Amino acid sequence: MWLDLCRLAGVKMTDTLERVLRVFLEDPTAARYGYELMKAAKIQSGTLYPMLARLAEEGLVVSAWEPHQEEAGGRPPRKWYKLTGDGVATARQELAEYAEARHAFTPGSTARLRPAPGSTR
Amino acid sequence: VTAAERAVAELGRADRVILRLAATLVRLACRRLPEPERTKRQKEWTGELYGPLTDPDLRWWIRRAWATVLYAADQQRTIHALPGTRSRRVLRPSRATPGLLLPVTAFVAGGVIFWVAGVINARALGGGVFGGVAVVFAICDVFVRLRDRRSNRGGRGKDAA
Repeated sequence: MWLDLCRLAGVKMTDTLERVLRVFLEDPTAARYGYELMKAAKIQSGTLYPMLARLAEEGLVVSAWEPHQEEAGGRPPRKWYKLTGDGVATARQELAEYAEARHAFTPGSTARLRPAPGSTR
Repeated sequence: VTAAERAVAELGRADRVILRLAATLVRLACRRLPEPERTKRQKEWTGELYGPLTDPDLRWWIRRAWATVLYAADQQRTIHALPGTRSRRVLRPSRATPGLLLPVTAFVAGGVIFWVAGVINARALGGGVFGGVAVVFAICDVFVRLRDRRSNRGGRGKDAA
């Protein structure tokens, strides 16, 4: 990805990360399960979990096990993820910057921004 | 009780087969992780397998089954991309595979030669070949052990650094 302007703490901002953050920000107080995030952000598990691990490492996401439920029909407990207070603020700010940077790179834009080194464009 | 939870309680035989297959894939992927992380991840991903399998948005069973298996299989990619994990060093597939491959290849090749020798009915030649195979086997074994010992020494050095 040649658009390498935004960095979310130590995590590189990409289109997939943008989608995941948008899902979280739809309701920042809601806890999301892995499969739920995959479905909503339309990404595969092999992309989602490393991303969540990095966000958790940066302190932007917290996770916890769901409480044991008798009605779950023998299903093991799942792990939910939620943005932290810091995560919500950072995600909002970075998403805005990312959208702005992307807009600047669209054809016909008057903004003059240089692509990242090694980019194909 | 949600629709998904009801569906979990009413899982059919085919669903259970898919679950078992997917759980095996998750377990195999998690083998590459160091211990505290392994148990945690395996528990998390096994719990999530019920999500795609009982997803009411996926109408056809085959699509739900495919989504479940895909979820589990893709965790191989997760393992390599997780921050801070040294998955390749834990299992060292590139080192472990030739270690097995060499003696097995030598044994199979020796068996073929021995069979050919039997076909041309030369007992003395057959005995010689059998002895030769045994020697090749032993050399391969020594070679693999020596290499493993050397690579283990190298691996520890890198870890310490």
